Amino acid sequence: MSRSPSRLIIVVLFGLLLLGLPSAVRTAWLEWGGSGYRVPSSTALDLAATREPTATAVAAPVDVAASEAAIRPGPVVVDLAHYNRISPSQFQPLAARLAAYGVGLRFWMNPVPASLVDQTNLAGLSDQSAELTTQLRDASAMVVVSPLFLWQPAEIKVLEEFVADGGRLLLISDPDVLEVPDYFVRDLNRLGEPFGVVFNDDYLYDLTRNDENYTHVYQGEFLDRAAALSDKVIALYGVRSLSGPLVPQVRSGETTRSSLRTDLNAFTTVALAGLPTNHTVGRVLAMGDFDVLTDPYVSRHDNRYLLDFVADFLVGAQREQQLADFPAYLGPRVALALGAGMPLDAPLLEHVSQLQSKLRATGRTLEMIGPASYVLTGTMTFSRPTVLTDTVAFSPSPADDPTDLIYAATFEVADRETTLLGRVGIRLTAVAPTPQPTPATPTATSTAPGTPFADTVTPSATPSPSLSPTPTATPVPTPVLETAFSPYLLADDSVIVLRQRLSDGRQVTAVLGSDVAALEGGIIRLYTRAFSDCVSYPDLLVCPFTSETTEAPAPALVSPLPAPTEEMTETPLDITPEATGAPEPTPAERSSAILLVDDNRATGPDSATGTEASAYESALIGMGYAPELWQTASDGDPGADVLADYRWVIWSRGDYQREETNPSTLRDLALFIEKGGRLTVSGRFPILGKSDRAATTVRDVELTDEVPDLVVGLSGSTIQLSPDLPPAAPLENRWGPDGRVVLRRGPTSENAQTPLMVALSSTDRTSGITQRAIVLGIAVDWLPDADATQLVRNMAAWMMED
Amino acid sequence: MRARPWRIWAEIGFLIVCLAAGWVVSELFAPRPIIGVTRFEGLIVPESAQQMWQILEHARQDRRVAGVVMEISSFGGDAASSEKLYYAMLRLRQEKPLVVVIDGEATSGGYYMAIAANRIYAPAASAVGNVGVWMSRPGDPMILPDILSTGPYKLGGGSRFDNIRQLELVKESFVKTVVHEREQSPYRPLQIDGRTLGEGHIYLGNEALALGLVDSLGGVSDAIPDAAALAGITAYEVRDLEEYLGLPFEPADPFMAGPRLVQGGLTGRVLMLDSRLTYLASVPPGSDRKYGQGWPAIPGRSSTADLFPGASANGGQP
Repeated sequence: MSRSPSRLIIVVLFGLLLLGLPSAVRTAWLEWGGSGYRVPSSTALDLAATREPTATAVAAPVDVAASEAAIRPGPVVVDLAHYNRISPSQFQPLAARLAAYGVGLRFWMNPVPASLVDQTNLAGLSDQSAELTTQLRDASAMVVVSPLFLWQPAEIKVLEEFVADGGRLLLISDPDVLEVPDYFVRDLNRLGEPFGVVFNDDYLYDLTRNDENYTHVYQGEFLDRAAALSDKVIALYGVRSLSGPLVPQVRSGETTRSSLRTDLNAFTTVALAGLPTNHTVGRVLAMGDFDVLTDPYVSRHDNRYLLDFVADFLVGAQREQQLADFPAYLGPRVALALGAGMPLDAPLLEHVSQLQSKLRATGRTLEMIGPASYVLTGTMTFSRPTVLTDTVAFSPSPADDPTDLIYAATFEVADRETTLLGRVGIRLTAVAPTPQPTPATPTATSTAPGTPFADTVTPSATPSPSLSPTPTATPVPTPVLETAFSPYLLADDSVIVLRQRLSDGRQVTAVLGSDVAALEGGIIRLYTRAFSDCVSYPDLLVCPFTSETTEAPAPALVSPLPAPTEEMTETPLDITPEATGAPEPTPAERSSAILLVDDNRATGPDSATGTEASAYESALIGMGYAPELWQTASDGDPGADVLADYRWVIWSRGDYQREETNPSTLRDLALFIEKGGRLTVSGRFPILGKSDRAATTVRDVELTDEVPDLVVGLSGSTIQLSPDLPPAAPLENRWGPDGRVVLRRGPTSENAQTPLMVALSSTDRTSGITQRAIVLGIAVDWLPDADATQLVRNMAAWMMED
Repeated sequence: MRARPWRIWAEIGFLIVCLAAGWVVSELFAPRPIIGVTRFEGLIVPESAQQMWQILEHARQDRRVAGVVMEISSFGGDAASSEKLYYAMLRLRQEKPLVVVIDGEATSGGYYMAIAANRIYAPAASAVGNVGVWMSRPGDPMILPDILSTGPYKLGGGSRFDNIRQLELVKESFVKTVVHEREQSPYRPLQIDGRTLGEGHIYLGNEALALGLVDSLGGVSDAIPDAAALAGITAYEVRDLEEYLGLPFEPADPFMAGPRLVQGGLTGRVLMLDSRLTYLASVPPGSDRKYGQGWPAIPGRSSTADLFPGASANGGQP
């Protein structure tokens, strides 16, 4: 009986064990058991790789200057005026190669900063054909690489004529310079159309043979003038293919493909272009890649030889210059001869010296011709060894030493000793004026001392004591030039510059005028190449001439300001400025040389009554000036042609709310300043010079001593302003080396101590023209009346100063 | 005294019943192996790659997880992060079956991840491939005015052609890895050569199947039993790995993380990123890198540009 309970317990325990056993087994299997998963077998992959070792350095090439051609050929002009998205520094390798030929690079830039140009309208850039003409005048070649903005038709025409004239053109469309390839290729195709070149909208690639990347493709064929490169390894780095009636110079390899022109190979990547219809055959080089001409690509493999090929092409230009391209058509030696009996006075000698300097800068020499001895007759004269004709050449030097001639003589002398005028159909003659009685003239003594001056002046320096008729003068025949293109030219008002080629090939450039002063003017035009106001033909320029010397007052003139005479005791009209510091304007300055632009196109709710322009106007009139008023609300912004007529332009925005700036207006203002115009901008949102910071309150103005002439006569070192003025945009903080801070925001103003008025002055290194500008960050009439008037006077004095 | 026979049979019967009941209890309550399902979507950036790496690592170490099914819906992203995920998935595959399902797109870095799987499923219209890499165009070494360094490539890491060459190396590595993995597929071995693969094509799912870039057409419902079969299990649970492991995954939004990936960070960063996402390569308006290459400073002439710095692109800025 005692065993039954024990057995029962054991059975129950076993039962419990079996109850938990499956769960335990499952759990244990899950935790420690094996898996039915069989790991797939695979071989190891070795991905170890390394870059190529650094290449062994070789000596950098040294460009040896070409020994021939003493004349320095014209520069190669690079277009950056269409905001081409390339950098001048990328042209360093090409510049170095060209320098070996004595040829320089000149970058043609747009004066308006890129940030001010509307980049949403790539067809809206202003026509720059005039500037392009100037740039190409002495150039031998032009380079255009992937312009951002479209070339205008007039510009393309100028370029076409340049190439037809012998200039060379390098056109490059690079697919990886550009973000929007379609547009640019189309644009460059507009430019390439006159020369028969088409840039395809593709890029070339090679997956088989490339220089580290599938877009860096080795070239396969070198043809025509590039055949000498056949044994070279040359790669292009992001290149598009070319089409059209071209002469291929370089073609891609067999394994190179096009992203667009599938199933083709052997694409043309460099080619000569040009059409016989416009005389441009062989004068255009088209390329589908720019990178190969730049570092570091130009140093890889034999790419430098392609650079040499391009440079050789550019310097091979042979321009057929016109007279206006002086001195580009002259040879290395030039002689200057004066007409018989012409005195070489000091001013003429000075201008001849300038001419000599200019020619020397182009690699030419200038010598005066004549015998070694000379006869002093008060002024130096040279006797002429020979008479100049069209067949008998002068002999300044041995016959086998070709020298071109510059000949300066009066019309009379030239007509007597040469046939220059006759060969261009000009005849010197004279016409007798119709005699007219001279009217009786009142004299100065008819005016009692102290009374207002009469409205006529005496023609003579010494007034006659009584009213009497002057004797009738004998009419003097007026020398005139009969030409085929006009009835006659007044010889005294004309300077003729002409070019003729002698039978022995030498060229004669003649400067002809009525007197020595006219010849001086003509020689000045030669070395400054100032022919824009001349009637021009390929070999003839007819230019106006006006004497700059002071003339005696003309008879019967009506003048508000009399010339002082001995008889006059009264003081002239009082035009002396009231305060100190502002010199009295000369009569020449009291003219319509000031344009006052009241920029009232967009007035805002904050505009105060009255305008700043009125403050300027009244102050200037008080000084004796007669500014012309221009209102943008009715007349729009004044263009470059309007601005060019004025010496000083004041752009007044006063209290107006207008904040935006018209890029084309900015461009016109930039050109105006570049040509020596003076500009003042003022207002609480001035057209230029304001920063992007929010407008803040100006409560006081602090004077500085950086430009004393502009602050003379102002009251105190700090000027308080009215407390209820609208906010004004702060000006920029930094103004470069040309800027001087004249006024600052005072200590109680917001943005205290920041510039409030800045005067800028700079001299252009090329033209020698001094540019001046003033930026005022408030309306001038915010100052107290006396200070406002004084400040305007100071501005006028500073601006009108030469 | 000996037990009676009926008692013995009763005891045996009791034990059998206990065993059966134990079996029933184990069926109901004992833990089963898990087929974990996870999903990677969005850009492959270091943050998202790290999150997914943690999930994969925990899944690998968790004994209940018998196999993993990963859905991929990604345009790729950072090259190094893509490779990191590839290696993590490869490691997982060494211990447990991994089946990938392409959900919509697995291009560039997304495809790089996928090739680590035992088997790849893809719908017919999905986007697969885009094998290749890209980077912002490298520049040349320069000296900075306010930094002095000890070597010509300290600041930039290499010359322009060093960077170009390294881009090619990464591409070659990518292509070789794809070829290596897909050539060994027991289901659909690779049918195209590496050069063609390196052209960067994007294939549809059915094209990818024909070329051996994926193994089967299908989706998650096909992948789960497949993973279980590879694991040799018939009874299992399907669990979301993030929930099971308690590890969240936050996808990197292409519109938020993309610009940061492309424009920010290190210069010369290599990307395995689907090239169709052009908006990611665009530069914000007003940037000086407009048009992709940087607006070149146009040095105005000494007169005009210097006179008006406020109107100049370069001068006058405090």
